Amino acid sequence: MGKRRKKWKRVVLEALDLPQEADGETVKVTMIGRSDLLVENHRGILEYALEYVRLLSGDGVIRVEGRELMLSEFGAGRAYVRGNISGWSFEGGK
Amino acid sequence: MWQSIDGYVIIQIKGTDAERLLNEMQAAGIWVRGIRRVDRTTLHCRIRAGDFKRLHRLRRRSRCKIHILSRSGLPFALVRLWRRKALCIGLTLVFLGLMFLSTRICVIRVTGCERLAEQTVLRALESLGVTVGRPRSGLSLPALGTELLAADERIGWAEVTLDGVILTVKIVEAVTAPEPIDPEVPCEVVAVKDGVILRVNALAGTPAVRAGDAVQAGDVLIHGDLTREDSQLPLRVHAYGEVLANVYYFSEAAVLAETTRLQPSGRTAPYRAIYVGGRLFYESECPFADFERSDTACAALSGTVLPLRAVSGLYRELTEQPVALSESEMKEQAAFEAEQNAYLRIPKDAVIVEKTIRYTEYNGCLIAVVCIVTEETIGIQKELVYDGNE
Repeated sequence: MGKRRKKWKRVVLEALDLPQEADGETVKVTMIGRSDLLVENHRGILEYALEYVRLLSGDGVIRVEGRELMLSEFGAGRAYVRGNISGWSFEGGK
Repeated sequence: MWQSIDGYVIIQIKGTDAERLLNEMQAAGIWVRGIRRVDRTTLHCRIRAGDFKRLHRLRRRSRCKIHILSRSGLPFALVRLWRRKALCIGLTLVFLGLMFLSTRICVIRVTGCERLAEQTVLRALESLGVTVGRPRSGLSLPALGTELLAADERIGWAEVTLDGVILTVKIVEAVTAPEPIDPEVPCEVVAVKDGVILRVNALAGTPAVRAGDAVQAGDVLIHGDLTREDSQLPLRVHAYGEVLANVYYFSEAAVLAETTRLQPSGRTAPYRAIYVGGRLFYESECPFADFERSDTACAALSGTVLPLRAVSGLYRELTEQPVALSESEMKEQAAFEAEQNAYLRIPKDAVIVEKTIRYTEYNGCLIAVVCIVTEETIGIQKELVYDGNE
């Protein structure tokens, strides 16, 4: 049911020419340079350390790695990670 | 900036499940900023001061300890300020004072005065009820300019502008001209002073003189009565034209070899003055009968924000002391005085063509005689007087 709902949501958004993340569930990651990374539509933080941050999302667990990481903003499904970011990735599969 | 206006607290979250507390806070709609990991079990972060009270319920589920590290922002600053009653009262008084002063005229400036004294204009303004301290509102600037013209006939044009608390009055002085004679009235052109004619340009009437003629004041230059001797009917016209002549101005001045002059005696006294709104508010007294003053304006409190200017300087005593002049100094002084006396009589529109100075000695005095030759118009219209045989 969840998958079907998600599929129908995607169809409707495409028909209306809206971005996919407008459904509130699809995670959107925006990176600016090597020091700023914004994760939208996440579902919460799993772990936070100076070297990595793990965030839960609808598409899996996002792991952000780097040094001296800090969360400059956290709330309403948005997490703004700042620091010396070496990279990010999805952990495992769903 | 908005966080500073709302007020925020920096808190320390200590516990192994700090991430859970962060998720609870997110779910409760609490925005968390500046989250920084200090060690394995400690986090520092920043939240709105109003949201801190809601943490109490959330904290229990996550088994974390929360401790306030610092408080910042406008609400906390106001609480700290409220404890300093004298500062609050002082700031309030200063604010009220500035608000009050901003509704009043604090400075009056007068520009354009050459022969007319600024004090005359200020007195005229005072008679119209405009002084430093008057409220700015209800002042009609165009009407004030018109009333200034009527207040003093020496003012030809006046413009009043108000820029903030500074009232600026621009003056153009009136140029008095002789009243012209009615063009229907017959008249002739006569000489107003002695001179040697250079050029006669008669536009109406017949010239009575030629170039090179020496004339005296009162001599007719252009005839307005054109009646022929054998004619029974008088013919009188409104004569006018330009008569240019060389006019000679002589002046002399004598200077003694030994004279007394006011010179510094070496004694000084301090000078202090305070100006408020351009007007002298306080001035220290001078203990000397004759003195000269040197000013050093004080930079503090001067400017356009507050109309206060403090001036400090020195009074230097001057006393009459005998001075022996050299021959060149005597000549220079005598020539200067003679020239100044001559210039006082020369009109502004006259062109100086020649200046000669001669020196003579008499009874120990050096006398300088200055002769200044000018080119100027010397004709003036004068009504023809009927002799009654009409």
